[in-house]
Amino acid sequence: MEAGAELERTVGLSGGLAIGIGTMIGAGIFVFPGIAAGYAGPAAAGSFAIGAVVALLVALPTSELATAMPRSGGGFYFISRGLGSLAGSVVGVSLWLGLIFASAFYLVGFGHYATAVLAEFGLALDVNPVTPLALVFGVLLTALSVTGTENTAKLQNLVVALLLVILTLFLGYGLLDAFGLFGRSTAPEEFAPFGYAPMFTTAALVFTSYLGFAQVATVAGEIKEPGRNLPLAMVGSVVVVGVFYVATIFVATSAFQSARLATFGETAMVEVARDFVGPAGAVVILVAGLLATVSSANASILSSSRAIYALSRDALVPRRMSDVNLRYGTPHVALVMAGVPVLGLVALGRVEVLAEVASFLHLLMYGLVCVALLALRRSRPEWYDPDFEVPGYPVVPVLGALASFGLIAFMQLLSQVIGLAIMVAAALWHLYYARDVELRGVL
Amino acid sequence: MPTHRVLVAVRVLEGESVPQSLFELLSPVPVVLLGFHVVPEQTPPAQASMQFRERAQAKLDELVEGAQTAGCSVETTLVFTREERQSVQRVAEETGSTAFLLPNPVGDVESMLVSLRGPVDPARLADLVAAVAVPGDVDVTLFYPAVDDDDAAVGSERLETARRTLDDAGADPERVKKEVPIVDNPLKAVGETAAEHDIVAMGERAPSLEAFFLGEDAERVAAQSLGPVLVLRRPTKE
Repeated sequence: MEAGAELERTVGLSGGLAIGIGTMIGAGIFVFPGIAAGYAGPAAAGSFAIGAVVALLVALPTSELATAMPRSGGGFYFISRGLGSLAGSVVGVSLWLGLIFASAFYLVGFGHYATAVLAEFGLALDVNPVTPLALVFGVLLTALSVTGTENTAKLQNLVVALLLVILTLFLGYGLLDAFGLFGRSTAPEEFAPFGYAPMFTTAALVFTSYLGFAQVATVAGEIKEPGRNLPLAMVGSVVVVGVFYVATIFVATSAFQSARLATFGETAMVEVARDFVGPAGAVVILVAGLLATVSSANASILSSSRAIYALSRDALVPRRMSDVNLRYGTPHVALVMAGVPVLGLVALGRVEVLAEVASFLHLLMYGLVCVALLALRRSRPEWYDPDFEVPGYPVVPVLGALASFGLIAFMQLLSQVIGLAIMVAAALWHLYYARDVELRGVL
Repeated sequence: MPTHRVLVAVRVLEGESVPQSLFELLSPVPVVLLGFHVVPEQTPPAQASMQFRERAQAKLDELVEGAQTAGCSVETTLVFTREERQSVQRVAEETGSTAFLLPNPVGDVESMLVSLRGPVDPARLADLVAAVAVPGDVDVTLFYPAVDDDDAAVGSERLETARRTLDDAGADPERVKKEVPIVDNPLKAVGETAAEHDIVAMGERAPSLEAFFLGEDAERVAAQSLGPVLVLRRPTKE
């Protein structure tokens, strides 16, 4: 708490769950199924399950740390206090860029859905509108954030609730259909037509679908009853979306052969819906996809601005970067610093690289969070008093760290190189700007 | 009756202030000065605090000086929040405040309109009024805009209870008037009549759908009268 001024906690459990679920559900269901099935066949369900397990292994240690240090900043905060300022800088900058890559990924996904909407209306354009549409919406979102547009949080909660309802109905119908209740024949296929190795590499690719749960920790300073609500929101959101993802792959690969599914690309779910319920279903999924991707992009942009704030609060980047203007009350510098790179990445438009680099940078943080937990538990400083303790210590955090770093090993080379380059750049920045900053154990 | 404590909530970074005459009016009772700033959802309150806390505190200190010059005993709090209502209610609970003041501009406070409509306890409201109006030699008009004759009878009784409480507190009977007009829209009548007075005193209603859409009664009255409103909080359950 800032000395001298009180800071109101206004986010409840439902708000926390909405943040977690809302940030995650955009990608996993609406962008990845076609792509994932193309690589791994129906075993892509296993990929998502692997992702859920890794996420849970990390969510539990993150919850403990978050209840011990319920300040906004999340993973970066825990790592800098547990492992020192160099690790903090590397993670903080990597996280910031990871969120930017994620935002770009969601916006490109949005572009695909918007294009599919145009196609649905029979509009054929000379130029592929995916990137321009994504860029336009990127600018729009940044502008809305800078001008402090209110109620996007309440709107987001509504959108998440709506999405969950649509998805439950859709998946419920799909599961019944897959089990033959409607008498239609399903597409028979062996579980892992490409072998089991792709299940793991695809798990690394689709891990972007689980990047939202740690977002809950970034608003730890604003959550009511953090000791109870933080773990519930984090673990709860992973479990909920994990179930949805596995069901989605199952339903999608029952409707179509995975090779065919892959040809539908990012908007594969639209075709699955069309197959079940006709054009009406396709439209519903189109609308849901638009909502999901845009709300995930918005959430990621706001999170990246919070990451800058966390870094500048600890003097790891210049204070001016987290300036708040009095006119709109928003951190305009950080928001623009997110918006501009996002637009640049969108223009490059390579969905898979964007997703993997985002995952890489987040997995780096997740692994280090587990290490930070182990370090803090070993040294047990007197201020360390979490309301929630990790079950299965030390197995869970050790597995969490191994799983996180291990998943990185399954990524494509380009993503690994980019991720590594970003880490090195962050370390160099730290040595240049913030070498003297001491953060280990500083509350 | 327990001592009254009045909470004055001020948007310290938006140029809101408290007229000196209101501090003078409140000087017989303890005052809680809550300086607050509302941040949009894009901004963690801590971030705004990091940047603006000093400025906000300086503004708050200025207000405290003014209050102390007027003879008030003041405690202060500074809050950065997303939800104004939640913060104000929380601080009121924590400090044991019995009333709020909406500190709109006003010159000397010489005449107070006391609205006894709604579920407010007439004796409690009169007690609050007495605490500030009697030492301040303020003329008090007890007001109950009624919708019909039966309502007016109810109103007269409530006014009588209030008048007795004011009498017991030592109010000058010459300075206490009663009015029970028949009107179409009682809340609007309060706002319109308030224009003829310097300040309005009234009670608080339980949260309702109407209040959600149209605003709290006191806020609506303040919007019409453009003057300060002293609001007695609903009694908290013991």
